[in-house]
Amino acid sequence: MAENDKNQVPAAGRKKRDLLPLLVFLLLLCGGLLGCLSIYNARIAGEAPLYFALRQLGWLGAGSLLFVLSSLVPFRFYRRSAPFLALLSALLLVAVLLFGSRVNGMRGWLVLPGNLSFQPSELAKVFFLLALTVFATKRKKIGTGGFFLMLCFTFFFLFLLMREPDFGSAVVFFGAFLIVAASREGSMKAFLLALAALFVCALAFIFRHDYAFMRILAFFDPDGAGVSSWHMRQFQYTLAHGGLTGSEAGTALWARNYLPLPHTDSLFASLVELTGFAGSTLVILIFAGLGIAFTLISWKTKGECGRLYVFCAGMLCFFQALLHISVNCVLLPATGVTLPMLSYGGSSLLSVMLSFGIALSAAAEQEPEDPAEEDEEPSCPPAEEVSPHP
Amino acid sequence: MKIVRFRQRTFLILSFLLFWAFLAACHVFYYSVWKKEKYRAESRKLGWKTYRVPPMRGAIRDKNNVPILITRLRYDLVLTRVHPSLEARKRRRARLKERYPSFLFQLPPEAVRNVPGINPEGLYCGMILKKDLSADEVVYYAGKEKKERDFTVKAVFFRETAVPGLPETFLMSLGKTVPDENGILRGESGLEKEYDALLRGAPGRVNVMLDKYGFWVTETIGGTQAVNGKDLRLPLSVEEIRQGKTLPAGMPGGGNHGGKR
Repeated sequence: MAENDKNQVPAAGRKKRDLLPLLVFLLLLCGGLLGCLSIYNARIAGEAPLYFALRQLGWLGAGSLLFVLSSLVPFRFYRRSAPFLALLSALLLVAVLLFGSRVNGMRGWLVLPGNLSFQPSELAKVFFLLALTVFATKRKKIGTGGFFLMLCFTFFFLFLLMREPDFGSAVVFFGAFLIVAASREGSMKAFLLALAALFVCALAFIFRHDYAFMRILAFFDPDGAGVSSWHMRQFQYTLAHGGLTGSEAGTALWARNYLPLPHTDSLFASLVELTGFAGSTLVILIFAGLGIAFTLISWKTKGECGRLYVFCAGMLCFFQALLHISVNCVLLPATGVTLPMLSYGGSSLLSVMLSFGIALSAAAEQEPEDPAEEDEEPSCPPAEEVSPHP
Repeated sequence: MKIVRFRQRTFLILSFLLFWAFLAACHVFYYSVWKKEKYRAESRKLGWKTYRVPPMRGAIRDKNNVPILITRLRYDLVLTRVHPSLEARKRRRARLKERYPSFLFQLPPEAVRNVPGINPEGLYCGMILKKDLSADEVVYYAGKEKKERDFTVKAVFFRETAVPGLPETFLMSLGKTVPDENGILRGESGLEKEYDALLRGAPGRVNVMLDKYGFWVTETIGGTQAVNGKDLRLPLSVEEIRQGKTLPAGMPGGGNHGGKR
């Protein structure tokens, strides 16, 4: 009887776990379709208003396929090949520095045949996170040396990104490091030191690059005369045009005519103008829902590495979305980060889908890597107390 | 790492991000609902413009309905923006000289250094580069205008005598018009001044949103049509005027200056 009960508990657990991936997929699909609508609206006055929206829809279809396929590959494979995948993404980042095409002042795209371009930093984001989680779960605790290595690894990627320069992606990579480091047990002193080092580097970057410094200044003085201040004010005006349920004009008129890149970097503000506070709340709820769903999935995941990856993948997406939303609602200075799933861009959408596919593969992993570590609550008394043979 | 510790840590991180999301939602609410009127009013000042559409001034005709003085529309190519710094003006001058040497004045920068406001003789502001463009030229420069942004094609109303060979004294009695700041022709003397209310018409109004480059967002165009001025018919024919007959007494410009007809 007791054995039957034992068998039933995991069965029920499995059933519950099966619903969460479905929820995740539905949330992603909702987000993706909402993104297509926003992109269409942001480009409605252009020569081919449907062009970008249809392309994004195509990417959404391809991304869904990638999501399913990558979730079918055993997580064991990803775990073992994490160093190689990280190396591959680093090579791609080097390649983009050498052969990449420059768009909006950033050398971040590799041009592929067939009028396609590919942004390696988006793919690198997935494999960087994978490698970081694999490294972080090698030991029970992250010591000072471990932190130092993780920091060096992160710095290496940050260096490559800053050479493009892609400040937005660098902030997201920095966020990935913070999430992984904060999720693991380790030396608080080392963590704070790592934080301080990254902070100093960020400051150095800001003071070295005028545009970054101007953005910070504009954030504190939105009524100033500079271009950055002007952009901040345009964000405020765009949000104001949205109202509670969307613009009276029925389109994102202000966003289209005054915001830079309304279909990518300023997509959230454009969406607020189109759908108002109500629509923007829905978008925030979608990302919050994803964050909660991935946290719950991670709590039920067996393997430690997989568990950490599931959590970090969900949180990184949530973090990036919040970064984008905060910039668009004038809560943070401009960073140039896109809204995952919603902003136009095949590389970004596919990388999110790939990341979540790997996360679901990790969640489906049945056997923990090290069963000794996988004890749930310490419900049983210590072995020597129950042992019939002292 | 024990699962309990993992849950505690991840719960903390998730809580932090959820709080951040709540804060972002509050910020959106602040701008889109709470303070929307303030920011909308500011944006309207910046992005919406109202233009007065000048009406076509009515013609002056003889008693046989032959037009004597008519209003014509002409298109001029003019420099529009006034650059704040002398350096910027010099750069623009050099650029325009290089690209469009045929119709640019060759004034030295010193000559216009201290010219305030609009200077029709100078190179830098409000100057007419080419008067009365042909239809082909209007199309050509309107296309260029989008790229160059230093000049624009401007429509101007002006009065023109339709019948040649009329005596100078008669033409003087008809009077003169001057354009006001909106391009609406206003009678300054003679019949033009006396019958101004009849001839002038009522201006229309265009409300339109401008994009960040200052171009019209065509889907937002709205407003009212201009009402053109009415024609004034004189009690003389063209032949009589040529023979030297003057306007009857009681008519402005006539033998006895009196009130309106």
